[in-house]
Amino acid sequence: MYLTREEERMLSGELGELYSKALRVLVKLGEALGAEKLVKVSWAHVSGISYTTIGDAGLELMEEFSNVRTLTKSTCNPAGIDVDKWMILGVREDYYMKQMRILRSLTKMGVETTLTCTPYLLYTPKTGEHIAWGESSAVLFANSVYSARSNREGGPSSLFSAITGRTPYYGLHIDDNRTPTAKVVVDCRVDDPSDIGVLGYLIGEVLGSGVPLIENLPLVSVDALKLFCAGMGCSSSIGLTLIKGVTPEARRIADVESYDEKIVVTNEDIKEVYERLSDCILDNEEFSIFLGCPHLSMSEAWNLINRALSYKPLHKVYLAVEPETYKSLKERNLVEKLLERNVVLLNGTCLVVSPLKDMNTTSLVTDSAKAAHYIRSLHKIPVTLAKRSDCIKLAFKGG
Amino acid sequence: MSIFLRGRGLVEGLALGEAIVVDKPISFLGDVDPRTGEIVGLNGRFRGTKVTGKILVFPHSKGSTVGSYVIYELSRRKLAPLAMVVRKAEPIIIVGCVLAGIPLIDNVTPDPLANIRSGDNVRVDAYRGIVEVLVDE
Repeated sequence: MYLTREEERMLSGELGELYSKALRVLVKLGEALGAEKLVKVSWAHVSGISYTTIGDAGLELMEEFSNVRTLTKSTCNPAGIDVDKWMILGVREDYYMKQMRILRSLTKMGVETTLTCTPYLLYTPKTGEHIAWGESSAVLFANSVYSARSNREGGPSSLFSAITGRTPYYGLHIDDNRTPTAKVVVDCRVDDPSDIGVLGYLIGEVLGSGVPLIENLPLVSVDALKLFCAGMGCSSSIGLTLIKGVTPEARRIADVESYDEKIVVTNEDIKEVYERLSDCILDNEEFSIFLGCPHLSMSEAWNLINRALSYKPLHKVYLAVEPETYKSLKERNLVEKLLERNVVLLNGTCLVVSPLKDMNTTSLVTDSAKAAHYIRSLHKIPVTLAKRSDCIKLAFKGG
Repeated sequence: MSIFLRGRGLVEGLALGEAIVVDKPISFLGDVDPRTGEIVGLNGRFRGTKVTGKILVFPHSKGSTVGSYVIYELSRRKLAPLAMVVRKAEPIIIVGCVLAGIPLIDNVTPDPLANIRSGDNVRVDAYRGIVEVLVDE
């Protein structure tokens, strides 16, 4: 692989053993994947920072690498717990201590502890910008909504890209790999944010990989696109989907091209996914409701909080937001006010990567196809996928 | 007498030891216990078998990228395999083997799973991408 002089020096250990090791990982990955060189990245988003997912193995590695400083702007994914309210949520102290050791290591390295799966709501990726992101939903969002360039990195590779400021130049960093491989015809109604999450999940499931071109995605808000990307990211290895009217580079794509594959999505298909991702738990009195996978934007959070304050909650409700949003809501004394009404505003965490058993959460209703998919497979508890409007009706009396 | 298999040396190094052949993809997160080096997943077929100090031969890895950290933790606890020989290397084991300094060879022909048996003595030269199966006379 071709390396610049600067990269050669880093690899030879001139900046220290840890930089050398981190770069060696990326060089070897690049060689195996057929990359001709490395490319500088202006932003790394580190996934895999919850103690639930990385355990002691990941914790020890983070601590070992905490003596380096990242060479590029770096953000990170949600933690395993709400570090503000872990105690009242029933999380064990030893878990909290270990999660804090991970966060301290990241801070020491210079990774901003943004603790969110929606880093694009904090800063805006630029068209054509090379970035190295973990978190499949965020990668899809950056590539498909902003035409930034990232492959789907894993936890370790995103961490080493943060440290070295580089990533192997292959895959979605290269123009030729950003052209459509399949065409999707949307022939279904989408009238709730969760529907579009299901649509993404379904397209991902059918295609599995490649670059889908979507010509007639129903007009939805940017907030709903988060759910679309999350659904698609969790059911496939797709990192970019070209959406006409959304993706900047989709403008250049002519309609006459032929595609390997063409799929049509109907109302029936959508209904089938809802059924498949749902266990029958609505008769059970004990379920909680989880909204915020991916993290709720400020406007989504406001909307839900207003309902929570106006109508009587019938079930425990978890609303997940990133720390900046949380901070401004906390300054308005809303965190306590909501808690009194059995509504938990989760700060910089996500139930998908939380110790749910300790938190006494035994069944959940959610509006996110991704959350339904993973909470079921990772935590083995019953889950129901419902429209956001239905989640609100279940949550609040008269809501 | 020996059988020679050739592949691509991805993480350099030399190793000589007993092979353990696992005919299923391994998810290091979940299938291997980083505190004991034992295989705990894979439907119980290999339960109790240790990867420690062996030449680990398997098709490819799968599952969470945290698997890389598990491989690294095995090596820090001196429980890692001596080398890995796979049909196809993907990021989880590449990252794990680089961090842990475990020699890794992929794209091996003829098929390592058909030509190496558990218990065989195997010499791995991951500088040159050579796997030598030492056969008793």
